Amino acid sequence: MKKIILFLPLNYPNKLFFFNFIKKIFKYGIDSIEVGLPNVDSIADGNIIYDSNKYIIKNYNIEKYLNNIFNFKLLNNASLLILMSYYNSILKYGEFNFSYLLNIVKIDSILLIDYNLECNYNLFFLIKNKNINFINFITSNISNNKNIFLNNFFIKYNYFSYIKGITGDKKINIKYLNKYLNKIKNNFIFGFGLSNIKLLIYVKKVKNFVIGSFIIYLINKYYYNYKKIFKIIKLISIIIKI
Amino acid sequence: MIYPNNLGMFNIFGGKYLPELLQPLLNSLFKIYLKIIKKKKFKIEILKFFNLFIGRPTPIYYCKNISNILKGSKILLKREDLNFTGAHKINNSIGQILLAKFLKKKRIICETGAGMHGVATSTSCSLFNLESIIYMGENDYKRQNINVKKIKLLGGKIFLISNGNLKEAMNEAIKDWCNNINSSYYLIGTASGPHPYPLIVRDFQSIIGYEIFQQINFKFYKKKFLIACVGGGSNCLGFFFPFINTKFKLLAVESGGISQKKTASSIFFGNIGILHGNYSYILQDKYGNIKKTNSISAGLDYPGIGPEISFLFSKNKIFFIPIFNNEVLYIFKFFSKIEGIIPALETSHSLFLSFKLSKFLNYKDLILINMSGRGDKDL
Repeated sequence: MKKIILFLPLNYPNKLFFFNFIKKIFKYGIDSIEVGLPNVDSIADGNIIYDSNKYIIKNYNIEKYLNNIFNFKLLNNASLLILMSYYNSILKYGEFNFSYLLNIVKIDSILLIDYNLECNYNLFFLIKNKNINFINFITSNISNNKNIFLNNFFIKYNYFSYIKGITGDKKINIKYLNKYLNKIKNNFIFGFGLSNIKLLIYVKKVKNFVIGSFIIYLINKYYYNYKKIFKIIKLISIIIKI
Repeated sequence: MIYPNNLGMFNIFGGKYLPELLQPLLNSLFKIYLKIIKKKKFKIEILKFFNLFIGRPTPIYYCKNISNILKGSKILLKREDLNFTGAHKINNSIGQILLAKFLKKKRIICETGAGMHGVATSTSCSLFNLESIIYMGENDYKRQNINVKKIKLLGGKIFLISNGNLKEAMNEAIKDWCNNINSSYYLIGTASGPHPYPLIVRDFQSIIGYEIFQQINFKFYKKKFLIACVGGGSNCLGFFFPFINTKFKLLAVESGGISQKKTASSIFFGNIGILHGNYSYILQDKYGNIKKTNSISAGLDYPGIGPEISFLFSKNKIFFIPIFNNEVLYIFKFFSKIEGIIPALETSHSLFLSFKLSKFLNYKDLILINMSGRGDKDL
């Protein structure tokens, strides 16, 4: 069964809309939610997510935000929650403190875009000790040696990005993609560069999708008519899950 | 000599904290760089360009008027502003373009603050017939209008980042690189960024320091001070590198901006974190978000500093002093009138420190300043 993961920056466009939106979204075919901690220098994100971060960064407070997620999880029984962040904000907060906080909030998985396991492995082991899944971010241009090295550490999930592009910036080439998907042994979530959803019906190996910038685009467009967003999401989930 | 390990770490500083997409590129660049730099052919070719195209070696100039007025130590300038394109940035641009040529890349991406790196890159791109894409913050675009015109004339394509400075320009350049990894080469102008860029920039810029050894006989002087301004650290590191394990006192000048809250001084008012792929001193808030910087000079308006400089600072090899905007403006005008040389606002930072320091020294002592760029861009 294919799974669809929805990405949204935390509290985007505002706290009320965000929590109401993700509360209802499970009814329309979304299986889990990836929440992005806002960062001013989100270098791996496309323009849509970059701009959204700029908007919500003003009242940023990591403890407050994770507290909101904790309350949300308590009330709504959300099945899988992935937290996406950049390494610097965690480093500043303290690696040990952050892993402790994640354990309390009961985050299922964490994805750090710019974390390099070779340079620093403290956080990886801290989070592993708390039984939180550490998602690795891999791409199709990865070398075999590096792939083997990473596969030894990351057992549950990998986060796969298409070679040509960051979120929502370039169209994908199915043939090229299928060729590289054979390289990956573990389960993986496909995202980053997913701009044409129809094409993904043909990518048979992909079981988990993440949709990010497209959702933000929809929110920006249909903010006052948000029921339309749910309709579109339902349509997407039907197309993907056929 | 100090060299990083294979991951680009100077002790805890440095590294390559970037998305996995760029890791294979950085690895291959490091391998190829190590191979090329040892080749005699490459060395001869780069020295040929340094000599005939850039106009190296640049002279050392004794500031007689200023030294007489201050009645302190002798103040000397390493005239990097006499390089072709008017700054030290061309040393690195030529070197890295030769690397890009070897890697068969035809599209060069770069970021620029003061515009000097943009001019140097577009100059070397037109020399080697390559396409140059230059990212520039809107704030810098307005204040460095002369360099913008030069870049356009040289065939560089400028992409503006609204309400941004050097940091935002670098973000956009990295994004562009992520999107075009097969065809593009990212030419970083500063000794910051992910490994191996700090190493590459340092090596190409260190010609500044090596030349000085041949130009001055230091035996005549008692106390010897070297002063350079620091933004990301290219001119400072290139100037200081050969003198690191010597008895010279190395002083780096940061831009203090207006106050402690509105500053660009990442060593004095910042703390350790990750910016643009390296672990170093940066200006950040308590949640790890990078602060907006404030500096009168576009070249120093950067919230981070190179990893090697951070390492040298932690080992007490380089001492840092912040100089504030009003002090810089005073020297910019004063020095031009007295000495007949218009310094760049970046260099004016180091000139101010030399003025202050000179009072405590005598004629047997020496202050050598790296004149990183010329000031007509700041008029």
